[in-house]
Amino acid sequence: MKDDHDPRPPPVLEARGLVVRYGGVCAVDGVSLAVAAGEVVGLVGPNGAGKSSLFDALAGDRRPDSGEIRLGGTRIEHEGAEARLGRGMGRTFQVPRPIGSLSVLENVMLAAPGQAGEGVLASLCAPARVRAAERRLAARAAELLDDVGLDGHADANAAHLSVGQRKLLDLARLLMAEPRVLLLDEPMAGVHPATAERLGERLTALAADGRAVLFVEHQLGLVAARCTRVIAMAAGRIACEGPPAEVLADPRLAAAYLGRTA
Amino acid sequence: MTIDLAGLLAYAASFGVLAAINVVICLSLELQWGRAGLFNAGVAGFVAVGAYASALLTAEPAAGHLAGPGLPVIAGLAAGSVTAGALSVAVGSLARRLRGDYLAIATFGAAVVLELLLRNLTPLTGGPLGLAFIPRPFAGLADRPLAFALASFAWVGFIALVLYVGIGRLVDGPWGRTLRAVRDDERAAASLGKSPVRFRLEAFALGGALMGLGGALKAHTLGFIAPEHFPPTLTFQVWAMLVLGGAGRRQGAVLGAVLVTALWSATDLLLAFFVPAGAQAQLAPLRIVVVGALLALGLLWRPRGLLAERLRVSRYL
Ligand SMILES: Nc1ncnc2c1ncn2[C@@H]1O[C@H](COP(=O)(O)OP(=O)(O)OP(=O)(O)O)[C@@H](O)[C@H]1O
Ligand SMILES: [Mg+2]
Repeated sequence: MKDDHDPRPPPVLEARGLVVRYGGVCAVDGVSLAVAAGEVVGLVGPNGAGKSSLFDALAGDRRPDSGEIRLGGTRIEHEGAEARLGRGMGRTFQVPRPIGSLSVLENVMLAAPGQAGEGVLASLCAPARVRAAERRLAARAAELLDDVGLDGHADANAAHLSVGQRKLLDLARLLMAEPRVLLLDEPMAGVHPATAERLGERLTALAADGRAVLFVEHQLGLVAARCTRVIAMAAGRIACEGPPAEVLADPRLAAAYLGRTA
Repeated sequence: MTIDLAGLLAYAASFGVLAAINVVICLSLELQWGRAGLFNAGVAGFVAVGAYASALLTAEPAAGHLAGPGLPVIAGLAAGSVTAGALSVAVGSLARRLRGDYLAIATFGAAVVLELLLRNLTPLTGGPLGLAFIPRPFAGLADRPLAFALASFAWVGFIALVLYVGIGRLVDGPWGRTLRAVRDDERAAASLGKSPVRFRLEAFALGGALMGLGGALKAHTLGFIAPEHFPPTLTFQVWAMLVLGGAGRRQGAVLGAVLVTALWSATDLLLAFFVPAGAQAQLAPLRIVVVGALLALGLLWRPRGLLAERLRVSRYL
């Protein structure tokens, strides 16, 4: 498949023949895809196409019924979500999941990897080290909140945010974990258009920084503006994929949205 | 009428010992339930394991039962904690992923089995009669009640204070923050790379170990233990302390432990003063009713306990 002149770096995330079933419903029906570092790939398709179920399988929230997932060449489909994040792939949820008993700032700090203070011994014996780390994390978390436009909400209870703000918090939190591969489930839904525009820029910047972004989005205009490639799903399968202009003009995409699978 | 000041002080100090031990046990449950949302229905069993382990290792060799390396009390306290902690790890691993219902059933079952073992493994545990001649620190002062009570309160209170401070370093920092995330949204926590099983098991094992320590303190202040010191109502009592004081705050656990201990002792006194000796045993269970009623009233007034959980976790912010 890959010819020698392909200028793209090798895929970071690769899935083959993924199947996710809920009882009798086959939500993901043999999906194969690859996302390379530096790419922003849009995942589109009508409601119930299986986009979120595909994310669940990729991120480790649900074991796929069959299929392979590779991250940087390593098979990971048997691993849990926490191990996959440790390998550098993280996701946000379509329905955001802030920790409602924590402040916005601590929601973000929570996500930092390798915190000394998460160890029992270090917490007990090295409070000075933990204090210094907490100061650094708080500063970094404040920066990220600033980036997504949640500055001013740092000390608020995360449970009191609006849906759009929760989306932004989820994104800031994921960025704190510094994944190389980001799976974003409708990150801009319910977000103010001006902020959505900034988020789009942010995605482009992440890709330029060598990360891989796969994101679900229903507003095709945003997809066209930000993606290097688009994958369209319908009824659990990939209907078509390619450059945004091609896919968005593809009759199979229109057919999918009209409820027919081409 | 003369007030016996020394007697009153001695009484206060022995109340302090009791309260401090209950603070230790209640802080342990606070760790498990308040911080990690882990339901332990067998608190009494973990306390008993710590008490018996420490008693067996510190008692002098004696005819009739197996007790006897005669280790120092401090080693007994450590061993009691480690044994109860190990039991927690075992029970926690049995209750797959330490999820709600499984864990409640597993801990309850463990406590029932333990009580049976304590009563029937007579060569080891002394059966229904229990173990006696458990070393008590400062036992040399025993013929001077006030001095002995004060000394006991000093060393037990010191241990409770050290635990209070140590637990604070843990729960009011990143460990406590991640634990709260695991407690409230396991999926979100896992998606951020946090292992729910690891953090739950740590909290459960640590809480269990400290319950064992509480039991060991009990053994080394009483000087003798029997199964009746660790009845199922002990589990109820500790839960009443935590729920009344407020899970999610160390101060809540302390306040609840002191209040319920005071209430328990007060009903003891009332029984002793106003009820003829013959009827006391029959009326003693009424204490549970009194504590239960107070708990219900307290919860009507403050559903989340006297001191509610705070939003900020990290003390370093
Ligand atoms: N937990 C579940 N149990 C049973 N069926 C489910 C579950 N989650 C999703 N489904 C079904 O699987 C199919 C795919 O759902 P999924 O949420 O993955 O679609 P989607 O493309 O993300 O849709 P949307 O755009 O509405 O978010 C749907 O038919 C849905 O009803
Ligand atoms: Mg979806």
